[in-house]
Amino acid sequence: MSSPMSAIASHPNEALVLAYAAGALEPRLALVVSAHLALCSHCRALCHEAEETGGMLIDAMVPVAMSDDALMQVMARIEGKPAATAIPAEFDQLPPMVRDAIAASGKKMRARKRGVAALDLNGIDAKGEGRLTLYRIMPGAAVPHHGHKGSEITLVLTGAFADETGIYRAGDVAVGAPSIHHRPRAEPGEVCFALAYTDAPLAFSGLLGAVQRVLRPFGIGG
Amino acid sequence: MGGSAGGDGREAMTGLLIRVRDHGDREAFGNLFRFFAPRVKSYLARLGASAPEADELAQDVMVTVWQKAASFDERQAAASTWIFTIARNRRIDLIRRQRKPELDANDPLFQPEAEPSPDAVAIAGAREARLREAMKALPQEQRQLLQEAFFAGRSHRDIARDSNIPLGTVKSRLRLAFQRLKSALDGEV
Repeated sequence: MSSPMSAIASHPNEALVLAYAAGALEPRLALVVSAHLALCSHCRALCHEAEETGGMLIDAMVPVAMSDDALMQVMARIEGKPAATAIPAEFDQLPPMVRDAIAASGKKMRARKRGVAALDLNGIDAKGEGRLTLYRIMPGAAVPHHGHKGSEITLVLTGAFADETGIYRAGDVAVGAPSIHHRPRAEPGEVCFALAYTDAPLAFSGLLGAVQRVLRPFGIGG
Repeated sequence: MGGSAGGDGREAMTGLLIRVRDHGDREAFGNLFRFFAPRVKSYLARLGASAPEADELAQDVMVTVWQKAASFDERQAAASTWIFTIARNRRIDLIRRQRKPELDANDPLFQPEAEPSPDAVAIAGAREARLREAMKALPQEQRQLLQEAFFAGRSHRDIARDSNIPLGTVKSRLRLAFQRLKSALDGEV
Protein backbone atom coordinates (compact mmCIF):
# COMPACT_ATOMS: atom_id res chain seq x y z
CA MET A 1 0.00 0.00 0.00
CA SER A 2 1.70 3.18 1.13
CA SER A 3 4.94 1.63 2.30
CA PRO A 4 7.76 4.12 1.94
CA MET A 5 9.30 3.65 -1.50
CA SER A 6 12.05 6.18 -1.30
CA ALA A 7 14.46 4.33 -3.56
CA ILE A 8 12.68 4.77 -6.88
CA ALA A 9 15.05 6.69 -9.08
CA SER A 10 13.61 6.35 -12.58
CA HIS A 11 9.99 7.42 -13.08
CA PRO A 12 7.87 7.42 -16.20
CA ASN A 13 7.38 10.80 -17.81
CA GLU A 14 4.51 12.88 -16.38
CA ALA A 15 2.80 12.87 -19.77
CA LEU A 16 2.69 9.07 -19.68
CA VAL A 17 1.13 9.09 -16.19
CA LEU A 18 -1.45 11.71 -17.16
CA ALA A 19 -2.28 9.88 -20.39
CA TYR A 20 -2.82 6.75 -18.30
CA ALA A 21 -5.04 8.67 -15.87
CA ALA A 22 -7.21 9.94 -18.70
CA GLY A 23 -7.41 6.49 -20.30
CA ALA A 24 -5.40 7.28 -23.43
CA LEU A 25 -2.92 4.37 -23.30
CA GLU A 26 -3.26 0.98 -24.94
CA PRO A 27 -3.97 -1.82 -22.40
CA ARG A 28 -0.47 -3.30 -22.20
CA LEU A 29 1.31 -0.01 -21.66
CA ALA A 30 -1.48 0.94 -19.24
CA LEU A 31 -0.68 -2.19 -17.20
CA VAL A 32 3.00 -1.22 -16.96
CA VAL A 33 2.10 2.29 -15.80
CA SER A 34 -0.50 1.07 -13.29
CA ALA A 35 2.00 -1.44 -11.83
CA HIS A 36 4.52 1.37 -11.44
CA LEU A 37 1.87 3.47 -9.67
CA ALA A 38 1.28 0.59 -7.24
CA LEU A 39 4.94 0.88 -6.24
CA CYS A 40 5.47 4.64 -6.47
CA SER A 41 3.68 7.11 -4.22
CA HIS A 42 5.16 10.07 -6.10
CA CYS A 43 3.59 9.18 -9.45
CA ARG A 44 0.45 7.91 -7.70
CA ALA A 45 -0.19 11.39 -6.30
CA LEU A 46 0.11 12.95 -9.76
CA CYS A 47 -2.18 10.32 -11.25
CA HIS A 48 -4.71 10.73 -8.47
CA GLU A 49 -5.01 14.43 -9.16
CA ALA A 50 -5.97 13.70 -12.76
CA GLU A 51 -8.32 10.90 -11.72
CA GLU A 52 -10.15 13.27 -9.38
CA THR A 53 -10.77 15.46 -12.39
CA GLY A 54 -12.14 12.39 -14.13
CA GLY A 55 -14.43 11.77 -11.13
CA MET A 56 -15.71 15.33 -11.34
CA LEU A 57 -16.36 14.94 -15.05
CA ILE A 58 -18.33 11.73 -14.41
CA ASP A 59 -20.40 13.58 -11.80
CA ALA A 60 -21.08 16.31 -14.31
CA MET A 61 -22.07 14.11 -17.25
CA VAL A 62 -25.62 14.57 -18.46
CA PRO A 63 -27.15 11.17 -17.61
CA VAL A 64 -28.20 8.90 -20.48
CA ALA A 65 -31.00 6.54 -19.42
CA MET A 66 -29.96 2.92 -19.05
CA SER A 67 -31.98 0.17 -20.72
CA ASP A 68 -35.03 -0.85 -18.69
CA ASP A 69 -33.70 -4.14 -17.37
CA ALA A 70 -30.10 -3.00 -16.86
CA LEU A 71 -30.14 -3.07 -13.05
CA MET A 72 -31.85 -6.47 -13.07
CA GLN A 73 -29.22 -7.86 -15.42
CA VAL A 74 -26.41 -6.48 -13.33
CA MET A 75 -27.89 -7.96 -10.13
CA ALA A 76 -28.22 -11.33 -11.87
CA ARG A 77 -24.55 -11.24 -12.86
CA ILE A 78 -23.57 -10.26 -9.32
CA GLU A 79 -25.44 -13.22 -7.81
CA GLY A 80 -23.76 -15.69 -10.16
CA LYS A 81 -20.26 -14.91 -8.94
CA PRO A 82 -17.40 -16.18 -11.12
CA ALA A 83 -14.77 -18.47 -9.65
CA ALA A 84 -11.47 -16.77 -9.04
CA THR A 85 -8.60 -18.22 -11.05
CA ALA A 86 -5.74 -19.44 -8.86
CA ILE A 87 -2.20 -18.52 -9.86
CA PRO A 88 1.09 -19.87 -8.42
CA ALA A 89 2.20 -18.56 -5.02
CA GLU A 90 5.44 -17.15 -6.47
CA PHE A 91 3.33 -14.30 -7.87
CA ASP A 92 1.91 -13.31 -4.46
CA GLN A 93 4.49 -10.55 -4.12
CA LEU A 94 3.46 -8.85 -7.37
CA PRO A 95 1.02 -5.89 -7.56
CA PRO A 96 -2.64 -6.96 -7.82
CA MET A 97 -3.21 -5.71 -11.38
CA VAL A 98 -0.27 -7.80 -12.56
CA ARG A 99 -1.64 -10.88 -10.78
CA ASP A 100 -5.03 -10.23 -12.40
CA ALA A 101 -3.39 -10.01 -15.83
CA ILE A 102 -1.50 -13.28 -15.20
CA ALA A 103 -4.74 -14.99 -14.16
CA ALA A 104 -6.57 -13.60 -17.19
CA SER A 105 -3.80 -14.69 -19.57
CA GLY A 106 -3.99 -18.32 -18.42
CA LYS A 107 -0.28 -18.52 -19.30
CA LYS A 108 2.60 -20.07 -17.35
CA MET A 109 6.25 -19.14 -16.87
CA ARG A 110 8.40 -20.76 -19.57
CA ALA A 111 12.14 -21.23 -19.13
CA ARG A 112 14.12 -19.22 -21.69
CA LYS A 113 17.77 -19.55 -20.66
CA ARG A 114 19.56 -20.56 -17.51
CA GLY A 115 17.91 -18.69 -14.66
CA VAL A 116 15.59 -16.70 -16.95
CA ALA A 117 11.90 -17.45 -17.52
CA ALA A 118 9.18 -15.46 -19.26
CA LEU A 119 5.41 -15.30 -19.25
CA ASP A 120 3.62 -13.94 -22.31
CA LEU A 121 1.02 -11.31 -21.36
CA ASN A 122 0.02 -10.31 -24.87
CA GLY A 123 -3.28 -12.14 -24.52
CA ILE A 124 -4.72 -9.26 -22.46
CA ASP A 125 -5.50 -7.55 -25.74
CA ALA A 126 -5.66 -9.43 -29.01
CA LYS A 127 -5.20 -6.37 -31.20
CA GLY A 128 -2.53 -4.58 -29.18
CA GLU A 129 0.45 -3.35 -31.12
CA GLY A 130 3.12 -3.62 -28.44
CA ARG A 131 4.50 -6.74 -26.76
CA LEU A 132 4.23 -7.30 -23.01
CA THR A 133 6.27 -9.95 -21.19
CA LEU A 134 6.77 -10.74 -17.50
CA TYR A 135 10.35 -11.87 -16.83
CA ARG A 136 11.63 -13.82 -13.86
CA ILE A 137 15.39 -13.58 -13.51
CA MET A 138 17.08 -15.59 -10.77
CA PRO A 139 19.69 -13.75 -8.68
CA GLY A 140 22.87 -13.35 -10.70
CA ALA A 141 21.36 -14.65 -13.95
CA ALA A 142 21.44 -12.56 -17.12
CA VAL A 143 19.08 -12.08 -20.04
CA PRO A 144 21.05 -12.71 -23.25
CA HIS A 145 22.44 -9.66 -24.99
CA HIS A 146 19.70 -8.26 -27.19
CA GLY A 147 18.39 -5.30 -29.10
CA HIS A 148 14.85 -4.22 -29.95
CA LYS A 149 12.92 -3.32 -33.03
CA GLY A 150 11.02 -0.68 -31.11
CA SER A 151 11.53 1.17 -27.83
CA GLU A 152 11.42 -0.87 -24.66
CA ILE A 153 10.12 0.18 -21.28
CA THR A 154 10.89 -2.14 -18.36
CA LEU A 155 9.39 -1.90 -14.89
CA VAL A 156 11.15 -3.72 -12.06
CA LEU A 157 8.58 -5.35 -9.75
CA THR A 158 10.85 -7.16 -7.26
CA GLY A 159 14.61 -7.42 -6.76
CA ALA A 160 16.88 -5.44 -9.05
CA PHE A 161 18.77 -5.70 -12.32
CA ALA A 162 21.67 -3.85 -13.84
CA ASP A 163 22.77 -3.28 -17.41
CA GLU A 164 25.13 -0.94 -19.23
CA THR A 165 22.88 2.02 -18.44
CA GLY A 166 22.58 1.59 -14.68
CA ILE A 167 20.95 -0.31 -11.84
CA TYR A 168 17.17 -0.56 -11.53
CA ARG A 169 15.33 -1.53 -8.34
CA ALA A 170 11.70 -2.32 -7.52
CA GLY A 171 9.49 0.44 -8.92
CA ASP A 172 12.13 1.81 -11.31
CA VAL A 173 11.33 2.21 -14.98
CA ALA A 174 14.16 1.57 -17.44
CA VAL A 175 13.74 2.90 -20.96
CA GLY A 176 15.70 1.57 -23.92
CA ALA A 177 15.82 3.22 -27.33
CA PRO A 178 15.46 1.01 -30.42
CA SER A 179 19.23 1.26 -30.90
CA ILE A 180 20.16 -0.06 -27.47
CA HIS A 181 21.79 -3.48 -27.10
CA HIS A 182 21.99 -4.61 -23.54
CA ARG A 183 22.41 -7.60 -21.23
CA PRO A 184 20.37 -7.07 -18.04
CA ARG A 185 21.66 -9.11 -15.10
CA ALA A 186 19.71 -9.64 -11.85
CA GLU A 187 21.47 -8.44 -8.73
CA PRO A 188 22.32 -11.09 -6.13
CA GLY A 189 19.92 -11.80 -3.28
CA GLU A 190 16.36 -11.59 -4.58
CA VAL A 191 14.50 -12.97 -7.58
CA CYS A 192 13.88 -10.15 -10.06
CA PHE A 193 10.44 -9.95 -11.62
CA ALA A 194 10.15 -7.32 -14.35
CA LEU A 195 7.49 -6.28 -16.85
CA ALA A 196 8.89 -5.43 -20.28
CA TYR A 197 6.83 -3.53 -22.83
CA THR A 198 8.17 -3.19 -26.35
CA ASP A 199 6.32 -0.88 -28.68
CA ALA A 200 5.72 -1.70 -32.27
CA PRO A 201 7.61 0.50 -34.67
CA LEU A 202 5.55 3.71 -34.93
CA ALA A 203 2.83 2.75 -32.42
CA PHE A 204 4.00 4.56 -29.30
CA SER A 205 7.34 5.81 -30.38
CA GLY A 206 6.22 9.37 -29.78
CA LEU A 207 5.27 8.78 -26.18
CA LEU A 208 8.23 6.56 -25.36
CA GLY A 209 10.42 8.95 -27.24
CA ALA A 210 9.32 11.65 -24.86
CA VAL A 211 10.23 9.44 -21.91
CA GLN A 212 13.65 8.87 -23.38
CA ARG A 213 14.26 12.53 -23.86
CA VAL A 214 13.37 13.21 -20.26
CA LEU A 215 15.61 10.43 -18.99
CA ARG A 216 18.55 11.28 -21.20
CA PRO A 217 19.98 13.94 -18.88
CA PHE A 218 20.47 11.15 -16.35
CA GLY A 219 22.34 9.06 -18.88
CA ILE A 220 19.50 6.61 -19.44
CA GLY A 221 17.86 5.67 -22.65
CA GLY A 222 20.70 6.88 -24.91
CA MET B 1 -28.99 24.72 0.35
CA GLY B 2 -25.57 25.83 1.53
CA GLY B 3 -22.27 25.94 -0.23
CA SER B 4 -21.40 22.48 0.99
CA ALA B 5 -24.21 20.77 -0.92
CA GLY B 6 -21.80 19.48 -3.56
CA GLY B 7 -19.59 17.97 -0.89
CA ASP B 8 -22.63 16.40 0.78
CA GLY B 9 -23.68 14.74 -2.48
CA ARG B 10 -20.22 13.39 -2.91
CA GLU B 11 -20.15 12.07 0.65
CA ALA B 12 -23.56 10.47 0.20
CA MET B 13 -22.30 8.50 -2.79
CA THR B 14 -19.15 7.51 -0.92
CA GLY B 15 -21.34 6.41 2.01
CA LEU B 16 -23.36 4.18 -0.31
CA LEU B 17 -20.21 2.59 -1.66
CA ILE B 18 -18.98 1.93 1.90
CA ARG B 19 -22.27 0.13 2.65
CA VAL B 20 -21.77 -2.00 -0.45
CA ARG B 21 -18.21 -2.78 0.60
CA ASP B 22 -18.89 -3.52 4.27
CA HIS B 23 -22.31 -5.15 4.16
CA GLY B 24 -22.94 -6.19 0.55
CA ASP B 25 -25.90 -3.79 0.77
CA ARG B 26 -28.00 -4.31 -2.37
CA GLU B 27 -30.23 -1.32 -1.79
CA ALA B 28 -27.20 0.95 -1.50
CA PHE B 29 -25.86 -0.60 -4.69
CA GLY B 30 -29.16 0.11 -6.44
CA ASN B 31 -28.88 3.77 -5.51
CA LEU B 32 -25.26 3.91 -6.69
CA PHE B 33 -26.37 2.28 -9.92
CA ARG B 34 -29.14 4.82 -10.50
CA PHE B 35 -26.72 7.71 -10.07
CA PHE B 36 -23.59 6.42 -11.77
CA ALA B 37 -24.67 3.98 -14.50
CA PRO B 38 -26.38 6.66 -16.66
CA ARG B 39 -23.38 8.97 -16.24
CA VAL B 40 -20.85 6.26 -17.04
CA LYS B 41 -22.95 5.38 -20.08
CA SER B 42 -22.91 9.02 -21.11
CA TYR B 43 -19.11 9.16 -20.69
CA LEU B 44 -18.55 5.99 -22.75
CA ALA B 45 -20.97 7.15 -25.43
CA ARG B 46 -19.06 10.38 -25.73
CA LEU B 47 -15.90 8.34 -26.31
CA GLY B 48 -17.51 6.83 -29.36
CA ALA B 49 -19.40 3.78 -28.09
CA SER B 50 -22.77 3.13 -29.70
CA ALA B 51 -25.79 3.36 -27.38
CA PRO B 52 -26.17 -0.43 -26.88
CA GLU B 53 -22.44 -0.82 -26.43
CA ALA B 54 -22.26 2.03 -23.91
CA ASP B 55 -25.16 0.43 -22.02
CA GLU B 56 -23.39 -2.92 -21.91
CA LEU B 57 -20.07 -1.40 -20.87
CA ALA B 58 -21.76 0.67 -18.15
CA GLN B 59 -23.29 -2.56 -16.84
CA ASP B 60 -19.84 -4.17 -16.84
CA VAL B 61 -18.50 -1.18 -14.91
CA MET B 62 -21.22 -1.54 -12.28
CA VAL B 63 -20.60 -5.29 -11.92
CA THR B 64 -16.93 -4.46 -11.36
CA VAL B 65 -17.93 -1.85 -8.77
CA TRP B 66 -19.67 -4.62 -6.81
CA GLN B 67 -16.88 -7.16 -7.28
CA LYS B 68 -14.05 -4.78 -6.41
CA ALA B 69 -15.83 -2.91 -3.62
CA ALA B 70 -13.51 -4.55 -1.07
CA SER B 71 -10.62 -2.55 -2.50
CA PHE B 72 -12.39 0.83 -2.19
CA ASP B 73 -10.70 3.08 0.37
CA GLU B 74 -12.57 6.28 1.18
CA ARG B 75 -9.38 7.85 2.53
CA GLN B 76 -7.85 7.66 -0.94
CA ALA B 77 -10.70 8.55 -3.26
CA ALA B 78 -14.31 9.68 -3.42
CA ALA B 79 -16.77 7.22 -4.95
CA SER B 80 -16.94 9.21 -8.19
CA THR B 81 -13.14 9.16 -8.59
CA TRP B 82 -12.97 5.43 -7.90
CA ILE B 83 -15.80 4.65 -10.31
CA PHE B 84 -14.19 6.89 -12.92
CA THR B 85 -11.03 4.75 -12.76
CA ILE B 86 -13.09 1.60 -13.39
CA ALA B 87 -14.88 3.25 -16.33
CA ARG B 88 -11.55 4.60 -17.56
CA ASN B 89 -10.11 1.09 -17.60
CA ARG B 90 -13.04 -0.08 -19.72
CA ARG B 91 -12.40 2.89 -21.92
CA ILE B 92 -8.84 1.69 -22.46
CA ASP B 93 -10.36 -1.48 -23.93
CA LEU B 94 -12.71 0.62 -26.00
CA ILE B 95 -9.98 2.72 -27.57
CA ARG B 96 -8.62 -0.38 -29.26
CA ARG B 97 -11.91 -1.11 -30.95
CA GLN B 98 -13.12 2.31 -31.93
CA ARG B 99 -11.73 4.89 -34.15
CA LYS B 100 -11.14 8.04 -32.20
CA PRO B 101 -14.40 9.94 -31.76
CA GLU B 102 -14.75 13.36 -33.26
CA LEU B 103 -14.84 16.13 -30.72
CA ASP B 104 -18.19 17.79 -30.52
CA ALA B 105 -17.58 21.50 -30.68
CA ASN B 106 -21.02 22.06 -29.15
CA ASP B 107 -20.52 19.68 -26.26
CA PRO B 108 -22.47 21.36 -23.44
CA LEU B 109 -19.99 20.33 -20.77
CA PHE B 110 -17.33 22.38 -22.48
CA GLN B 111 -19.48 25.27 -23.63
CA PRO B 112 -18.80 28.38 -21.66
CA GLU B 113 -21.73 30.31 -23.08
CA ALA B 114 -24.41 27.66 -23.30
CA GLU B 115 -27.16 27.76 -20.73
CA PRO B 116 -27.78 24.28 -19.39
CA SER B 117 -31.30 23.07 -20.05
CA PRO B 118 -33.71 23.24 -17.09
CA ASP B 119 -33.83 19.44 -17.04
CA ALA B 120 -30.11 19.15 -16.82
CA VAL B 121 -30.02 21.63 -13.96
CA ALA B 122 -32.71 19.77 -12.05
CA ILE B 123 -30.87 16.48 -12.40
CA ALA B 124 -27.41 17.81 -11.93
CA GLY B 125 -27.56 19.14 -8.40
CA ALA B 126 -25.36 21.65 -6.67
CA ARG B 127 -22.04 19.89 -7.07
CA GLU B 128 -22.39 19.59 -10.81
CA ALA B 129 -23.61 23.12 -11.08
CA ARG B 130 -20.46 24.25 -9.33
CA LEU B 131 -18.32 22.12 -11.59
CA ARG B 132 -19.98 23.65 -14.63
CA GLU B 133 -19.42 27.10 -13.19
CA ALA B 134 -15.77 26.26 -12.63
CA MET B 135 -15.52 24.86 -16.14
CA LYS B 136 -16.97 28.08 -17.56
CA ALA B 137 -14.44 30.11 -15.63
CA LEU B 138 -11.50 28.21 -17.11
CA PRO B 139 -9.56 29.89 -19.88
CA GLN B 140 -10.59 28.54 -23.27
CA GLU B 141 -7.29 26.73 -23.88
CA GLN B 142 -7.50 24.83 -20.58
CA ARG B 143 -11.09 23.76 -21.25
CA GLN B 144 -10.13 22.56 -24.70
CA LEU B 145 -7.22 20.53 -23.33
CA LEU B 146 -9.41 18.82 -20.73
CA GLN B 147 -11.85 17.89 -23.45
CA GLU B 148 -9.17 16.47 -25.73
CA ALA B 149 -7.41 14.56 -22.96
CA PHE B 150 -10.48 13.04 -21.31
CA PHE B 151 -12.95 12.66 -24.11
CA ALA B 152 -11.01 12.24 -27.30
CA GLY B 153 -8.55 9.60 -26.07
CA ARG B 154 -5.66 11.71 -27.29
CA SER B 155 -2.21 11.58 -25.81
CA HIS B 156 -0.68 14.79 -24.55
CA ARG B 157 1.97 14.40 -27.18
CA ASP B 158 -0.59 14.34 -30.01
CA ILE B 159 -2.32 17.36 -28.54
CA ALA B 160 0.97 19.21 -28.31
CA ARG B 161 1.86 18.40 -31.90
CA ASP B 162 -1.51 19.30 -33.38
CA SER B 163 -1.94 22.53 -31.49
CA ASN B 164 1.67 23.58 -31.96
CA ILE B 165 2.32 24.17 -28.29
CA PRO B 166 5.16 22.57 -26.34
CA LEU B 167 4.44 19.34 -24.43
CA GLY B 168 5.46 21.02 -21.19
CA THR B 169 2.83 23.70 -21.77
CA VAL B 170 0.14 21.08 -22.39
CA LYS B 171 1.04 19.44 -19.09
CA SER B 172 1.18 22.63 -17.07
CA ARG B 173 -2.12 23.91 -18.50
CA LEU B 174 -3.81 20.63 -17.74
CA ARG B 175 -2.52 20.62 -14.18
CA LEU B 176 -3.70 24.20 -13.74
CA ALA B 177 -7.13 23.18 -15.00
CA PHE B 178 -7.22 20.19 -12.61
CA GLN B 179 -6.29 22.39 -9.70
CA ARG B 180 -8.86 25.05 -10.49
CA LEU B 181 -11.67 22.53 -10.78
CA LYS B 182 -10.56 20.81 -7.61
CA SER B 183 -10.43 23.98 -5.58
CA ALA B 184 -13.81 25.05 -6.94
CA LEU B 185 -15.32 21.84 -5.58
CA ASP B 186 -13.29 20.97 -2.52
CA GLY B 187 -11.15 23.89 -1.65
CA GLU B 188 -13.67 26.23 -0.09
CA VAL B 189 -13.85 26.38 3.67
